Amino acid sequence: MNRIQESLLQCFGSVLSGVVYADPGFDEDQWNSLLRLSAEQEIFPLIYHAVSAFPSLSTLPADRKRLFRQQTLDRFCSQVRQTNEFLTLVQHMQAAGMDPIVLKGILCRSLYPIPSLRPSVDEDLLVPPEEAEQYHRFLLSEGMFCDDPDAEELSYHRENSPLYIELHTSLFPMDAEAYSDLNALFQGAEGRSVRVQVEDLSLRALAPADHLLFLICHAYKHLLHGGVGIRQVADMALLANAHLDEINWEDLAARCRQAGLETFAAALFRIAARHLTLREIPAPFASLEVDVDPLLEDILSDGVYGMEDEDRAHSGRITLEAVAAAKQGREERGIWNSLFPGKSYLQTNYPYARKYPILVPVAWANRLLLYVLRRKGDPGKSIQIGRERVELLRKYKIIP
Amino acid sequence: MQYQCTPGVVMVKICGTRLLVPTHEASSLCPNVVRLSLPAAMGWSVLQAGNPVSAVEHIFSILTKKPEDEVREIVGKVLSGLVEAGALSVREDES
Repeated sequence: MNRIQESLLQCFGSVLSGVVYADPGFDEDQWNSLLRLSAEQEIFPLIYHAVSAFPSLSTLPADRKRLFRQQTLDRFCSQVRQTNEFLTLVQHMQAAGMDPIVLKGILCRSLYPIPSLRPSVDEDLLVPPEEAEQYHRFLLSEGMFCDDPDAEELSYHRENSPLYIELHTSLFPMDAEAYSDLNALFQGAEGRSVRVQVEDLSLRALAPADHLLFLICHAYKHLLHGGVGIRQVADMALLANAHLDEINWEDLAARCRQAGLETFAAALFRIAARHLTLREIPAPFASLEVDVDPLLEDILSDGVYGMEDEDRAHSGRITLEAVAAAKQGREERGIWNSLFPGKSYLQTNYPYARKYPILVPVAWANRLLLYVLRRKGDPGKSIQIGRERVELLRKYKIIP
Repeated sequence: MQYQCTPGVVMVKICGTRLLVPTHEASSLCPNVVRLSLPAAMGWSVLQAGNPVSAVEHIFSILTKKPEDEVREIVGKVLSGLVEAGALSVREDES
């Protein structure tokens, strides 16, 4: 870990704990690096607010400081509006007798000292499949537009509004070869759901253990696609801190073990305890020996959770295939699969291929063309990253 | 004229800027975050503590050393901006 990465962790940890972070005395380049990394990790407003009064920040040109300050304020104001519009939407749903399970976003945000400084792109709702049509009609009646009515996971936005809703009928896509089996870990979760007060509204949420397990599984999904973000680890730390005494940790560890995620979860908890204010590592995870450094290094690598760097994003095809092959007990399809992924992957990412299966070869060709046209740097890099990240999966015992 | 702070509006300082932030409870009356000047922040704080508008005027007159009618005009202008944003509402004098 370099000094910038260490400083980001120290600063983020102090934001979460409310302890003042000492001015690191950076020069202009170092500040630019730290703030760029915070933006890539989607925690820029939290970090800039924490450091904005530091004397050494004056090494940045005044106009850049003004821009950063403005961006922080704009993100904050937009997040406030998103929260309020979302709560109003759920209030209207509840008035209409609908009570969806709210996931992640607003529930994680509300655990932060200043919630609206934690950026969220979307708000996720989990609804029973048989009620999805009712929710779809309701959201349209609330002035929202559906981005792609044929998609399995429907997303909605509203014009001139930061509100963006994702409607899920399962916690993980049922056609995702590498992780659709995670849904089995959450059997009965709807029946165990609890009420969580957010501002003046009581929201339906997964029980704390289910929610924490969901965050672990969601981080795993990100790990396969391109990379986990440090904010995801912070969300887990804050949720665990809020429910340390009421979660049955033995049961949670057993469910992680069932999915092959016990070592990965232990590493996340260790990172959270070392850097992000988790008060204690839950007993079943504390007893596992695990080297957290490779995972931490992967987390802090460039790219928004690995997705902004095309090489890392493409490497996701390799890690996804490695896990799918391990789960299905077959040989990996290798790099060929990265260029020509399965029909289900194409139909998720290319709506026309979903609508007209005959166009799947066109989607393949399009994908290959874009891959060639957009490439920057070493063409072998994504394969190399993919192989390194498959090793990471082995290290954390996700695959044998 | 007296003023009442909209319930559910809270003051927060982000990057040195004071903001009035509507929680969901207040969002129908005060839909947007309000960026405050220093006088507006002071006026809000005094009213939020349950003081009458005369207390705001008193503090302004000490700070600005301006005549009473001028102070009243300044305070009126500052507070009317907050009324327009929905962070404050005007209520009738009890007298």
